[in-house]
Amino acid sequence: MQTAQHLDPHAQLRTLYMSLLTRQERFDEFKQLLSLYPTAPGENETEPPSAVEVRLRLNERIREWTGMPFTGLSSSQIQMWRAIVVEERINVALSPWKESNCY
Amino acid sequence: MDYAKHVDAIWTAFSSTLPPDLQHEARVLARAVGLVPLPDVPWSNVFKNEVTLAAPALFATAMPLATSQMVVTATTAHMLAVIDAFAIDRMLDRQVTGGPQMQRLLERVRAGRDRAICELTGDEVSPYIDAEYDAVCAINTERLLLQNGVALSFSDYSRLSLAKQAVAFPASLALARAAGWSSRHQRAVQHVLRGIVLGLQFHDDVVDWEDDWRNGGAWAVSLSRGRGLLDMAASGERADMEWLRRQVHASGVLATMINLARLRYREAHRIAAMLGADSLSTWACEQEATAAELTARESNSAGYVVRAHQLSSWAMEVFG
Repeated sequence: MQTAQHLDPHAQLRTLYMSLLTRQERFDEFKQLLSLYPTAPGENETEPPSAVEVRLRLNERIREWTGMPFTGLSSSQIQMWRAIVVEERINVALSPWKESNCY
Repeated sequence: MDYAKHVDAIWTAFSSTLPPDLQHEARVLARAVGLVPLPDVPWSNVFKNEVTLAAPALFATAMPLATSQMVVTATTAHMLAVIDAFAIDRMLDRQVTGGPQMQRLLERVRAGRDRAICELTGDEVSPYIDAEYDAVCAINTERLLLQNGVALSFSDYSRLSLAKQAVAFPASLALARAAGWSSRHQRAVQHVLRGIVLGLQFHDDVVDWEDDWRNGGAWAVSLSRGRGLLDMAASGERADMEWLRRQVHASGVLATMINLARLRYREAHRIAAMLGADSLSTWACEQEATAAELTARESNSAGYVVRAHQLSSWAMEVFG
C-alpha cells in the first residue's frame, strides 16, 4: 500500500537527491543519462524515439534508486535538468556562483 | 553596519579616481577574472560571505578606539588587496588572460591598496609588497608541485596554503595596531584570519579538486600520493579521471581536508569570540558546523562534498 509520503513528489526528489549524494556510481549514471538526452526537440516538437528510450531508462533507474513509485520525468523536465547538471547552464537569478565563490 | 553597502561604496569611490577608459574595466572586473558570469555584479554580491572583502570592518566592531575613517581606510586596503590577489591567482593559473587594460587597472588597484595601508600605518613602505611576493612565490611553488603530482604531506599543504593567503593579513593587523590593540590581541587577530583563510581554502580545495586536476594539479591527488595510496605510474602520466577519483576516494584525504577546514574554523570561532568580534565568531561557528557535517558525510560516502557541490544548482532548482 502506498503511503501519502510515497506519493509526495518532493519526498521522492529528496530521496533521489540523497541517493545521488551518497553513491558515486548513481551520480555518474544520472549525469550520463541526462547527457544522452538530446537538447533540441524533434520535428514538430515531438520527442524522438531515442530520446523516449533515454527518458524511460532514467525514470526506471530513479524508481530503482528511490524505491518509490516515481511518476516519471517529462521531456521538458529532463531538458531543464540536463541544462543545469550537464551543461552547467544555470539560472543566473539564483546567483549560484556565490555558492562556488566560497572564499 | 551594512557591509554590502560598505564594500560597494569603497569600490565606487576607488573607481571614481580612475581615468574614464578604466572605469568600464573596473565595472566588469569581477566577470573578467571569472568570479561571476555577468557584468555589473556589485562586489557585495560576488562572494557568499562578508569576511572575504570586509574582514577589517568585522574586527572593528570589537575595537572601541577604531574611528570610522580608520575602518574605511583598512577595509579599502584589504578589499583592493583581495581583488588584486584573485586576479593575479587566476592569471598565474592561466584561467584568465589579463590584457593591457586589465593590467593597467590592477596597477591602480595595487597603488590604491598601498596608499591606504600606508595612510593607516604611517609607514613609507607598504606591507603588501612582501605579502604579495610571498603569495606569488607560494602560488608558483604549489603549481610546480601539483603539476608534477609530487607526493606531499598535510604540513606542506598547510604551510603553502597559508603563504598563498599572505595578503589577507596586513589591513586587519594594521587596523588593530592603529586602534591601540596590544601585541597579544594582534596575534589573536592573526590566528582568527589564519583560521578563516585556511578554512575557506581547504573547503574550496575539496569542492574543486576534480577541476583543479583537469587544470593542472590538485592537492587531493598529491596528498593521496603522500599517503602512499596512489601510484600514478600504474595508470600512465595523466591518469584517467574515473580511476583517479576512485583512488582519491579510497585514500580518505578528502575527509581529512574538510576536517582540517573544520579545525581552522573552530580556531577562528573561538578566538574571535574572545576578542569580542561577534559577527565574525558567529560566522566562523556556522562554517565549523557545516564543515563538521560535511566531514561526517564525506567519511561515510567518499566524494560526497564534490557531488553535493555539483548538484547544488539542481537542488536549488528542484527544492527552491
